[in-house]
Amino acid sequence: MKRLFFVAIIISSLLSSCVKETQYDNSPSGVFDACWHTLDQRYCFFGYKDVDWNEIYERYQRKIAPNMGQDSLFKVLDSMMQELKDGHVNLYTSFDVGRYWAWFEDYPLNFYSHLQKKYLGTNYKIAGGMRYTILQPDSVGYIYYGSFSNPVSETNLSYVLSSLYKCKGIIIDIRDNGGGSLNNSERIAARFTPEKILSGYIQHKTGKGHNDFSEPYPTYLTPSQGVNYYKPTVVLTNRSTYSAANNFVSLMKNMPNVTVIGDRTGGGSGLPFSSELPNGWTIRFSASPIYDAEMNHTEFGIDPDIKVDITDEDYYNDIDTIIETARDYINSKSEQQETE
Amino acid sequence: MKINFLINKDMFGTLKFNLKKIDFLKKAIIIYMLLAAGNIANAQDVCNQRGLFSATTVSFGFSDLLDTYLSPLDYKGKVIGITNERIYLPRFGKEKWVAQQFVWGDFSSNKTVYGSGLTIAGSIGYSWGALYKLPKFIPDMNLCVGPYISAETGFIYNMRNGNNPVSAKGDLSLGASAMITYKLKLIRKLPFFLRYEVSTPLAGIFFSPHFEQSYYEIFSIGNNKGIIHPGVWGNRFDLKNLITIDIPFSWIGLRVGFENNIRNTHVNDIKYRRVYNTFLIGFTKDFIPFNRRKNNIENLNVINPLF
Repeated sequence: MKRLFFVAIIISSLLSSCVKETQYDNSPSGVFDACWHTLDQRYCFFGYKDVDWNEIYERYQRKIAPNMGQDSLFKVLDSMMQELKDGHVNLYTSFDVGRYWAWFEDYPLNFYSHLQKKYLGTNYKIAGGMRYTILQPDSVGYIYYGSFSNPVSETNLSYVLSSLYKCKGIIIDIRDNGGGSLNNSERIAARFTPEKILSGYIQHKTGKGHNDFSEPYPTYLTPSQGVNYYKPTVVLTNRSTYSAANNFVSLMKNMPNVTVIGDRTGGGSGLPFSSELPNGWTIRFSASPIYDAEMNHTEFGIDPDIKVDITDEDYYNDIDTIIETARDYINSKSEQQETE
Repeated sequence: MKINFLINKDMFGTLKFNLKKIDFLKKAIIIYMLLAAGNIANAQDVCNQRGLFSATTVSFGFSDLLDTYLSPLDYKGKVIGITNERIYLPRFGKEKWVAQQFVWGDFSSNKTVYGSGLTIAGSIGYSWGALYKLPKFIPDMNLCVGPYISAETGFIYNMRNGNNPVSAKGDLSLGASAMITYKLKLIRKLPFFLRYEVSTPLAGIFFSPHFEQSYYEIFSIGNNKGIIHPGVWGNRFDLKNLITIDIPFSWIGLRVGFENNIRNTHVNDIKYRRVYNTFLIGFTKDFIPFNRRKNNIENLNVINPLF
């Protein structure tokens, strides 16, 4: 009997072996340390961006005072996080969102909804998150997809591509598309590949060290079982084409009949994760890098095949220079194919 | 030890007249109470039947949750659950083994220690074990030890995480249990059954993504290499302490108790801890399986699985 209780006591003592994690207190220094350590262990682009995160700690930790208010603490943390130059790095509070938006704020807009409406008109169709129409008189299909968060099903895509099948080509406008689901990106891109292709690579962090990464895992695109499209296709981009939209451009660049026209994309190739701080604020950060098919980072954007900005002259004449360039390109491609 | 639950012919005879006046449901209850009351008598040509003891309890208590895949913060909250336990004599073992089965489900709602955030968690599970009854060294006390297998699946959902809100859980385990039962006669003819049971998995497998591996990478892209881990005490430690008191009232009984249920994993730099401390209340019931065609109810000998 005594032995039995002895065993029970031993087992019960194992309760103290429960896993524990360092808990930072809800003071300005505790919140600052929690933020810095979370990013230190989990952010994935320190090496690629050559960021000295320890130096940043020293520099910003000096700005932390025991009695500082929420606004002041927010500014310090936000400034520190902006050092990472990453649109996927955010600080969420009830009163503000910390952000790095220089990837599009410092560049031409290259997208004006009032100009786009001149092309889209009012008689366009809507399938899932896509708005589409046929531009006349040259019979060029035009699809606007404003967010990869808006769902697009396989059925939606088959209807859209069937409707535009007789067009000379298709323009897929993803300007000002800030991203969303990578599944939507792959689902749409699969409609434009005639065969299974290597589309890119993905890695994830395997530990808390800055260089602890898994082997790159290849990703592939296979043609859809539905309606596919292999005529000339143009993808329109600007600096606000970001995250999943940036990934879509990376995928479409692998297709033989696809051309990217517009401005360089905004980038954002790190799959974001979220975490929390002791005071209830939330942080977001890039955790898992995604590469293109040549194993290149696209974190800072992808150059278009044809660089075009909307000119002032066109802007004042209600002309979208980028759409017009795409139309001309498709018309020339179509004529070229007819000649051949 | 066997308890003879035999129905005396005379008892049925005297009841015959009165039973005509009451409805069918009451008849059934009275007959059942008579069976459960254990009108002990000697008999010849008894038919041995393995009794089945069942207990269904609801639980409520406190939870402690940590999953660093979602958040480094400790969460604490409240948990509710439901459990069904069955104990019976298996076909093997010549009444020296006891089979024990648990089916459970639970749900908890948790907040950080600073009162912010909301994380919910839920799980369902099943276990089956075979416990060997050791020789008695104290009357009315049974000590059983033996292995069990279990499977559990569940989730944790962090309401604030926009990009990685869910952590999925799943495991298969082979473990060991030890159980002490004691029949305590505080009131004459109303025994209390006390039970303490401790169980812990010794080996098994469990699911965990890599440190910063997304579910998109696992399930959409298909990079699922290395997400099933062998579970040993180095990376996984679970423990369940269960204390129950059963108070039988004729054909149904009351169960109250306390359960301390701990789950820990530490793999790929992801720490997971779930501690539930819950109070239990529910009812127990003894089932007497018999076939009316084959068995004569008058000579039914029900073998209690534990006593």
